[in-house]
Amino acid sequence: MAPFPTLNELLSYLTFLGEEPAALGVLATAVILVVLRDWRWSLLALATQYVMAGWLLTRVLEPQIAVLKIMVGLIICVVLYLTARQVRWGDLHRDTGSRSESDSDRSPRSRRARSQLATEPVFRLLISVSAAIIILHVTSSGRASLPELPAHINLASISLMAMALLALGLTDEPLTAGMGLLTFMTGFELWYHSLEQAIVTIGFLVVIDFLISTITAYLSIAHHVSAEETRRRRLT
Amino acid sequence: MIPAPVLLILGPVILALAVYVVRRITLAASLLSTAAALALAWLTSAVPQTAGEAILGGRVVGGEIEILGRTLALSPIDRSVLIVLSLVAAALFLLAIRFRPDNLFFSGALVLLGITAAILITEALVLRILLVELAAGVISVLIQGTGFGSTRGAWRFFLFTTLALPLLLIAGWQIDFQAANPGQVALLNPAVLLLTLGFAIYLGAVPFHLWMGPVAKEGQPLTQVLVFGFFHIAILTIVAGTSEQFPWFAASATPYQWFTFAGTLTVGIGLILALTTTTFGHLSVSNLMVDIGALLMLLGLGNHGGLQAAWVLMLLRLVSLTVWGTGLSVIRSRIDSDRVNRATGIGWQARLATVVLVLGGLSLAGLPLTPGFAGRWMATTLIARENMAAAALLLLGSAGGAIAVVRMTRTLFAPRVTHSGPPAEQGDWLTTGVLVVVLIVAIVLALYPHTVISAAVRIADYYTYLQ
Repeated sequence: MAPFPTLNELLSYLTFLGEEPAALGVLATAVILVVLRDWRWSLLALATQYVMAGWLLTRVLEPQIAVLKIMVGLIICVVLYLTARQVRWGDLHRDTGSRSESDSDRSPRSRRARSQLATEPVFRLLISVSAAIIILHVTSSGRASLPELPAHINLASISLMAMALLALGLTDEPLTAGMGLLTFMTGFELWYHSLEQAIVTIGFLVVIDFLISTITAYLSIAHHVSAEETRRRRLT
Repeated sequence: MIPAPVLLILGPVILALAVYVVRRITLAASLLSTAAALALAWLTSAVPQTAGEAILGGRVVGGEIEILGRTLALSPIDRSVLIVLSLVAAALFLLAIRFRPDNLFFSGALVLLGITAAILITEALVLRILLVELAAGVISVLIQGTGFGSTRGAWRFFLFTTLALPLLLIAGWQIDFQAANPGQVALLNPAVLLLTLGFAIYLGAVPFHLWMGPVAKEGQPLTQVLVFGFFHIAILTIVAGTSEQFPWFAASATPYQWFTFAGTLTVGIGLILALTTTTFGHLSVSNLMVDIGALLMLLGLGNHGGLQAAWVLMLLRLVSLTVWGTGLSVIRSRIDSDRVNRATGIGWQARLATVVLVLGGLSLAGLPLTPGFAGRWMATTLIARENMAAAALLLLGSAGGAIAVVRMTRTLFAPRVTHSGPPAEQGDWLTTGVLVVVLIVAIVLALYPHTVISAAVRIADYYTYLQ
């Protein structure tokens, strides 16, 4: 039986991922988080983001701590996955999209509402792609650079924080906004850990990431169970 | 032997677990929590200042300790603030016997008390900021409680507090880096700006006030004492502590200018909100915004009198919020809504609760013959010495808040009754008793606010950076 790979061997699997592709990948996952509302894709994007950001963190932190951060990120994704399952968020969205058109749905008001819903993803796509282009432009031209950061980590950090703020501005829904806030923290930690490597602070930030995921899970359940109950009441 | 700082932090948290077990038996949870808060107040006052000296048969030792390279020490300021907060918490726990805010309230508030103790006792700025984030998490859960429905209040509070975290952590790093490299003085300018911005976000200055409306609408009235009272007192301690710890921060003009600007803006928006409010939540928020604006203006004065008035304002806000929250708990339980017009004529059915609510509202507005007056008057006179226009705006803010309360009172005592049911206090001796006690305490503090003022001035006098 082959021995279990060591930490360095595990990290060496990621060497195919250069710094620039990793930074661009992080930006892509942030765009996905803003554009898509399906929790499955959002969670997949968030998990990928944690892996790529963790890989970039190996440039500023000890590899063991970077791997720990990846593991914490993945555990947070599991917590959010279980929460999303609990509130059946994906089902609720699909139900809304696929229900048959009743008489009331044919009213001009209803059609207008559905038209708005249909254009919403397009709006989010346009605004996030525009934001991504601006981020790429200002970081590559050197107009926006965070102190003490290598160029690719600078791109990753700025893009994560900017896209997260965009996501937070577009919704108050706890699960989506929670993923936005976690993305913001990932972007910030990429920057902050290049400045501060004290183990106590790293530990505290890990606790705060867990706190954000716990609050997100708690509020998501409070928010969606209510929405589901309200919907059930309307149906019966 | 347990070091006192550790006991002050972990004691309430451990007791919170015991309270959580009996959370469904309100009386037991309330009495246990009250006992814990009173014990914390006693322990805080009894802890010896000098190292090695012990109390409780040698089991608890005073002095500072070091954990993970960070110093924990109970300074005289921490001691006074913690005693005040513990006593207010004990009063809230007793009130909660009748106005059961939520199952989580007792244990959550005890955990918050423990975290607040940690914020006070910790000396390192970065660690304090991280502890504030933990406190914000607990408060978010308390705002939401076990209820389902809109989560906007809890989420927005948590979001805004979390967004302040990076600013303050970066400032903390810059301070540490500059301390290690004294030549890098240029780092301190951005640190001052980041600290000022972070503190303004924590205090809910305009435009970072967007969480306040939903919190006031969705949070239980007594929980609001924790949000706008406990949390803001912890932040004021950090602001004043930072100024004391870092003379370059206190010597810079930037924080004073920005606090004055943000305070003026916050009072202005609070005034506009007061004139347009139709809900109990917005009514309290408009008054609180004027109060927060006054606090920021006082901090912006940059003199010791301003700091004293800021502490008076904060301690009296605790009283005003408790009175307002007690009255609102009864009214809300009757109408199950936050809209004032849904409570039309309720004043004739729940007279005592309505009187307490009106008194609380007027106190939040800072009107004469209410507990909140002394603080607002001190603030107005001090600001008038430096800037007459700002003082006039503050007076207008108080007047706007008072007008909103008068409009609310007219609705509550309108002859038309839009709801049915027996009088709120009929046959409920506990509610009547609690309302009477709150009313008497409020009247006594309105007539004799010196106890609160002297406690606040004593706390402020421990700070030497403006003297």
